[in-house]
Amino acid sequence: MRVLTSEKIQMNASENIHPKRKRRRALSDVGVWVASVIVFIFILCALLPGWIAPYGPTELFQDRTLQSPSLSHWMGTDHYGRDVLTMVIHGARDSLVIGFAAVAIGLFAGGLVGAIAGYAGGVIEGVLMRLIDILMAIPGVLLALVIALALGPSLQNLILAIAIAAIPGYARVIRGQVKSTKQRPYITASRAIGLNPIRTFKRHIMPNVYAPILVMATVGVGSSLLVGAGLSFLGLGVIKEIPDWGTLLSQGRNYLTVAWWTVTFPGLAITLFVLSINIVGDYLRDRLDPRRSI
Amino acid sequence: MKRLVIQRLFSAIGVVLGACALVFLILYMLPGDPVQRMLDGAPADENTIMHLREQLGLDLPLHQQFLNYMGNLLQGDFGHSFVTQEPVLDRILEQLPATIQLTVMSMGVAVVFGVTLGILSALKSNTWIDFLVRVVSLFGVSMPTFWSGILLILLFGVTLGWLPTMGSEGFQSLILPSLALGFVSAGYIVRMVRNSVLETIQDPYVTTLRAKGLSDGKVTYLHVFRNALIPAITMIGVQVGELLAGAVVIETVFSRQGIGRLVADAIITQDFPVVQGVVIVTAVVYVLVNFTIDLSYSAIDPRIRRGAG
Repeated sequence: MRVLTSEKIQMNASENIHPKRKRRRALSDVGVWVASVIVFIFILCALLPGWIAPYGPTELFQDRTLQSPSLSHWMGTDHYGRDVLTMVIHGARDSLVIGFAAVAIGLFAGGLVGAIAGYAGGVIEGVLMRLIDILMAIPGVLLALVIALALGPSLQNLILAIAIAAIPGYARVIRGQVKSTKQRPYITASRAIGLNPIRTFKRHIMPNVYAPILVMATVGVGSSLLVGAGLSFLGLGVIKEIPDWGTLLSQGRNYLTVAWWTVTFPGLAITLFVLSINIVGDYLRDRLDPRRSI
Repeated sequence: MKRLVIQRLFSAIGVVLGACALVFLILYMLPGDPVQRMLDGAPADENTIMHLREQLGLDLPLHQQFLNYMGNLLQGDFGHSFVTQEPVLDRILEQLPATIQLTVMSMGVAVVFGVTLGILSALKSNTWIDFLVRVVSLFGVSMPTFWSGILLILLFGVTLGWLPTMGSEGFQSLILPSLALGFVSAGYIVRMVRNSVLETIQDPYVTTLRAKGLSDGKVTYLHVFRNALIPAITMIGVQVGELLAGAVVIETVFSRQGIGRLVADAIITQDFPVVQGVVIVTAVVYVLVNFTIDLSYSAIDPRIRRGAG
């Protein structure tokens, strides 16, 4: 194992970009581009599945069940005789809706709690953060599982369950951010000149919180989608004609030994989407948060 | 130090009690009637239903039910399964060892791979090794465990036939599930360790050590790693929760015994006392692990100890 040399450390610390490093940065920029394009394609699939998919989502090829991938069925067919590629494209809608909606709700609620706690401080902060601690005592997936079970199976309930389970994470980060921003001299200054607290918050604190929010939201879409797929896999998902990726995978699981394609491709879709959105999230983090740009 | 321990202990107990209350409230909000679920559609006359409601204490007002529930919990009474009528705690204790084995083994996988690759990645930062490690760790955090589990079954069980794909007999049956489960946590730990090592290297004390004439190797191995690994310990605490929750899916995929499987089955049969019991036990284990980590933290890092003094 080679150990870091002094020159190398200096290179890391200084803003001088070594030519080799520049090339590497260009390479990772390509990666971000590819990832963005993949995310974009998946979003297109979710918006206009009918235009992209080769067959209709309810079309059954009953004489061709469990066929391996071929030219007419690129990802093969499942046990009902449905075209797997078509199902994966149509499944993007519910999967992405779960990912994005859960983040939107969780971020709003968590952000609100975090911002109030961080800005108000004192007793309010103490009470809110103890509540968050309690939510955090139950691992996220399990919490989502209990809530989804209690609410009963539907898309809205699934989203709500995932969103609630994600609240503590968002609340803690935003509280931290608001608290540290609050101590900056310009906040004291804006208070001193008589700006009211709510305006101070909107004008001077919020802009400093946007960057971490954006990063968290991006990465959160991926993790929400993963939790959603997991719950669907356990049977807490939505039973519909057009299943999401998690349900699709759990349906294919029973035919694992005879038809690897029925589980491989829906899982690949989940992985590819989450991977791409994580790459975009990492890129945003590097760009927006100078402290982490290593 | 003593004061710190007591303070943390009380807050841990408070959090656990709060979590119990939370689970109760979530399940109390249920639209369905537990009695109907217990009967599972079997015909029953008014009297039987009334009797059952009374027996379960469901005729009492909410606060009374809550106090009974908490009281029973504190005495180790987690209620009875709707399906088998067995005490929930017995069922859980029966299944817990298998899950603990899986969690410990997965954690082993995660820590060994995570720390080694994280350090390697940081030391070779911006080389192709670093790039490769980062891609692999990104895959780790992006793959659904049930999918990677299924792929492992397909590859090592079905195609190559090297390892058993289901059951919980013997050490061999642990290998694939803990790889599938541990890989995710390994991904997070790699990212954490890499950043932490790179950040520590820039600390002023590293420059001082070097200025004193200490060799690069000594600086890295004696000083940088020690300090860089402290944040990784917190990460391990968080990952214990992820692993316990992940066991629900992985134990199902690999048809293993364990409390995760217990929950997965209870979801299908709508056996709420079992779900409730497992969630509470998991929360207790999780809080306990993090409490221990919190304390070890202050034992490792003198700054924290003094700060609290």
